[in-house]
Amino acid sequence: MRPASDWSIPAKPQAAGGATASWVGVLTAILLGLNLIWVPHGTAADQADRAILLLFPKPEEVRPWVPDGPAQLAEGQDLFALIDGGAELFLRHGFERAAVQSYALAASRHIQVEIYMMRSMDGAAEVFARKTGPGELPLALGDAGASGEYYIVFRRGRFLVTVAAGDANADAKAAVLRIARAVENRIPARCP
Amino acid sequence: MRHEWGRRSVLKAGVAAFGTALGGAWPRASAAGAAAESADLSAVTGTDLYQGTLKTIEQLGGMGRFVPKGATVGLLINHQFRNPGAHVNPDVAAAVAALCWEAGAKSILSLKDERFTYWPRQGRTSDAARRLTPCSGNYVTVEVPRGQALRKAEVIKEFLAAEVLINVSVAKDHEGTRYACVLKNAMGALTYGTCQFFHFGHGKGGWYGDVEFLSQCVADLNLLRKPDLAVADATTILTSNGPFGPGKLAKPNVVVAGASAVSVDAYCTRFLGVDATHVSMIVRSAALGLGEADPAKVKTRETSI
Repeated sequence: MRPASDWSIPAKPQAAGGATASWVGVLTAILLGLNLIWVPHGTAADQADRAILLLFPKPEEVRPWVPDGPAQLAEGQDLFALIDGGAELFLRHGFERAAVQSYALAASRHIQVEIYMMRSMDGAAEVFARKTGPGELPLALGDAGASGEYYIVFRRGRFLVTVAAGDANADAKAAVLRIARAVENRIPARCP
Repeated sequence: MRHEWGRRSVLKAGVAAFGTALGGAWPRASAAGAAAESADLSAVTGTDLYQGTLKTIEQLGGMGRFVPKGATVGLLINHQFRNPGAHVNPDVAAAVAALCWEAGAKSILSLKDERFTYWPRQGRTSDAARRLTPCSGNYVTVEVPRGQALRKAEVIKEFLAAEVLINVSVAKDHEGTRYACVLKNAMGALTYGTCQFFHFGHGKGGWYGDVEFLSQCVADLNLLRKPDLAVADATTILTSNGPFGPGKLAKPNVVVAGASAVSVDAYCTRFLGVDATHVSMIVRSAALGLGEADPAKVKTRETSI
């Protein structure tokens, strides 16, 4: 597990450079997802980390919630160090990399956004199927989405995303939906 | 940082751990200080989790029953997960730490790194957290002398070296074992490689290809180092999509504690609607002599505050 600040990129990369950087990031994510970018040996992981970090919403889209520290990143089996036993489900369905960002409000409240990039769309679909059941309501988000009392889970392409609040208050649920939609909009639609 | 141990060190650690399993290697507090009518298992229901935890330990005879003055305490808290019901509420963990200080602990080692700003930055909970010493990542390889499935393990050194081990976990759903709490939380002291052995060591394939094997490994691990005190947070619990969540929640608002992780786990299965006799790691741990799995046979005190 590595904090995003370990890289030579800003802790809040989604804010860096404004709309232009955001577009470049989205384009990079699309091309990486399609395996259409060749990157020199040793920098592929950095490129992929940058791309996944750019899927998080900009700070203005999240206000009044604010990022609570830098995003945490994990690749392959490092996911175990990030989410411990929770990694098992992802690893057995072809996990590639993840980024987790917490947002806080008034110190005691939080929302956590987890973006998992799987090796394939099927992997994301399998994890989604395991994470959702009769207890969740279908939600029109991504290729498939579901909502629980305080959280949203959706998948798009080979990405699996969960956005969960620490409570089920109305403002937290509204923020969860807003963040989920923002992430959905940044995920390349035709990523294989 | 990872430490590579030579064969001699491995053997020493294995012998020390064996001594622990026999209950003779670690200094213990005298039971004389404990209240005469103290229970072996305590459960307190209430919405003030900090006070509920204090009361739970009090009903066991107080922290002095488990933590001698000047002792080094290893605190293994299940706080790796951020989703509600998937981690120990910081108020519960902070109350345990505060009681250890009050009992005269020399130091409290936090066996796992804090994730995602677990400890609040203000208030009584942050006060307790500030005084913890982080020591995660210092792994040693040890043999498990009486292990039936687990013969060798890479564990956090202080998991074995701490004079007192307190395992603080949360009762919750688990996709593989159906239920997880204190016994399973011991896996938090292991490297990923050893955890993989729990899942794949049977050779049948699949993360949960052999839950019986996994459960025996969990039992063996608890035999390697039996916690001196087991605390279970059953205040807000994840009842689906465990162990990580997010998922459905239940709010029993109960804090449970006891000297036996087996008994605490067996008691807490009720919150998930599971029969303890159907949770293999509980049954197998009881078979190793790690505690009583039938809550009816345990001297229990239940209170509401």
